[in-house]
Amino acid sequence: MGRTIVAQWGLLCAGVMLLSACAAPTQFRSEKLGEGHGGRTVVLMPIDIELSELQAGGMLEPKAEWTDAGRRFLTEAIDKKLNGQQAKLIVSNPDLVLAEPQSIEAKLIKLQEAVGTSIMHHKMLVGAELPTKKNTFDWTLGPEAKALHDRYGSDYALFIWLRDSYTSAGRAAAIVVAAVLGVGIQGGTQQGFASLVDLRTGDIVWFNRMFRGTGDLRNGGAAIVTADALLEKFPK
Amino acid sequence: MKAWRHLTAALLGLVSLGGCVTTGGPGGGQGTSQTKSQATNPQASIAPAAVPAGPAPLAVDLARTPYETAKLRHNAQPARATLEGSLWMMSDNAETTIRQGAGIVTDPALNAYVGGLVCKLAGPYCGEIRTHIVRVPDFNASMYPNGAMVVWTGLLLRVRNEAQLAAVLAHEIGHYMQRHTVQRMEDIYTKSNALIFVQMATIAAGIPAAGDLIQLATLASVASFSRESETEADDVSLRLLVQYGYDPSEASRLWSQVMEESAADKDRSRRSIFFASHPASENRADRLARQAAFALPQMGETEAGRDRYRAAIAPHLASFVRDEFRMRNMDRLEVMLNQLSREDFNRGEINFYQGELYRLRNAANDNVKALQFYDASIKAPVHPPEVYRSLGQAYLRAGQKSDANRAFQEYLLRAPDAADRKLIEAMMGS
Repeated sequence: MGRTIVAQWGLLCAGVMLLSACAAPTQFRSEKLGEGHGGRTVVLMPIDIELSELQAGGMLEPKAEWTDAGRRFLTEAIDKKLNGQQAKLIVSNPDLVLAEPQSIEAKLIKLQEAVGTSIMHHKMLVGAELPTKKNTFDWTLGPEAKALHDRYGSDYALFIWLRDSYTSAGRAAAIVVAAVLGVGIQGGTQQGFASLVDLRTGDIVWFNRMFRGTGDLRNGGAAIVTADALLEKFPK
Repeated sequence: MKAWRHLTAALLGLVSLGGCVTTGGPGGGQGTSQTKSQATNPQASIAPAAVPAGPAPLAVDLARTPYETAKLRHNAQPARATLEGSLWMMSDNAETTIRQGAGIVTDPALNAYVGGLVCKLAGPYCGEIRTHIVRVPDFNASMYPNGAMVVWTGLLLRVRNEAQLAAVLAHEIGHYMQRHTVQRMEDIYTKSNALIFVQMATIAAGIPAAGDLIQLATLASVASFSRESETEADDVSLRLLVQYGYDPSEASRLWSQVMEESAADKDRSRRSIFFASHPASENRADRLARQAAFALPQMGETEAGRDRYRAAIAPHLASFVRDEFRMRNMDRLEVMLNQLSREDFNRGEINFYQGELYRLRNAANDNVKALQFYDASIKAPVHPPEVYRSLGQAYLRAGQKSDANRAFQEYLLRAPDAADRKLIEAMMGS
């Protein structure tokens, strides 16, 4: 029930954020898949995802069951979308990090999250640009990324980080009461980023940030909308 | 507004999944969004702080093992759809991060020793608890609801014997068996949810300035819940110490040691996470002591396991102490090293560290103290060759050039392959 209110509030917040502080949410090094080598195979690395419920008091309560479903539906939606773009998707074991925390693959996922966070800070927030990276997009995971090419026989790796929160009934009530009193409080949001890494070089060739006040990953039908937003302007 | 931020930050601290508080838990906390509402005040007050008055009761049933009374079913796997299942998911993620971290201690002997003790104390729960030793120079251990236990190296350095270590580990196991993190999270969600509606009511009523009081009352009520679980975990700890024949009075002794060290810390903001999460430390030491006095007459022979513990820790002493020096909290370190030196073990090594402390701190009279401790170290049958290098430096600072050179020579004689040979030779020539 809280979802429509969340949608309104979330959209407003997202809009405010985009207008006030954010630069272009998509960055490219190449706009074409297979540039230089013609390969179009993409391995989807374990998605770092967490779905939670926004409690009345403003705390996030993580939801394992929703997270499991979200991971499954988002994977299916990405598969569907990329197949439509003539890419071939390999899905890695989603429990890879838990099963092999010290593996090079698990470490690359961590590295990618660190690099992705840097991109979010320094490339997408106006005023926080790094002088040496202002007019260029040359972020890379380094040559170690080749380990993923060796393991999966793939040309690219797609990394996704996503946090999704849903307004509880209690929070929705709080929002309504607060609105009556003229106080604005936030509902659930869906935010994340995706990056595509060329496994021959380790370079990030495409990066996209997503921030929405709508969306639902708990069911299969709506997950495709999130996948579309997450993979906006994905290399053709 | 300020108080609201204070509350949120405090709740976040409590939310950190490392539920326990012999602890406070390292990170692993989940991100929590903050409301932007502004509180004004009250008219209603919620859940008043239950500050325990006077000594807590000592009703500990020593006849039954904590395994029999545990709230967590042995080998339980909570359903994913529950809050508990979700906290396990978060804990699995946090545990993975800990295992990936550079600070994880992999030494097989040390892991076997600490892990073996955990297993013994956990009894039927042994197979469910995984112990991770992490290189952090502070006193802390924490328990995640999924069975991940984290022990900091700073704790191993401060513990004197196996009974003290067992007291801490059993306390953590108590948090696990009693499902404390799950209960505490339920408590926090309930109270923070109630809070926002009370705040709304006060905004609507237009009463200014009492909002802070409501928030503080909520905070206190969460903290008192946390103290209750601490007491319960202490009871589990006592029962396990009794069961395995460890001297239960070591628990309060450990508390006193750590409290003495903390009191020496002039900078409160740098205080151990342990004390940040423990408002009632002195009450607790007192209660532990009374518990031990209650249990001891009912026990046969007890042991502290001092020699066994020292044998396990001795190979790591140098690296643990080196990490402490990196914290640059010299006043606290001084107390800790004094405590260590009162123990009759590795005297030459401990005296050397004491000398290092004074040489590096270099306050008034410190160089004289450093020279005295180096001298004491050299008089001990076993001492590290580096003591002569430091002695040389202290002599140089005192202007005693020929004494310095003699010490440097001795260092180079004892450490012929020293990486800093060239540097020392230059100092001797200068």
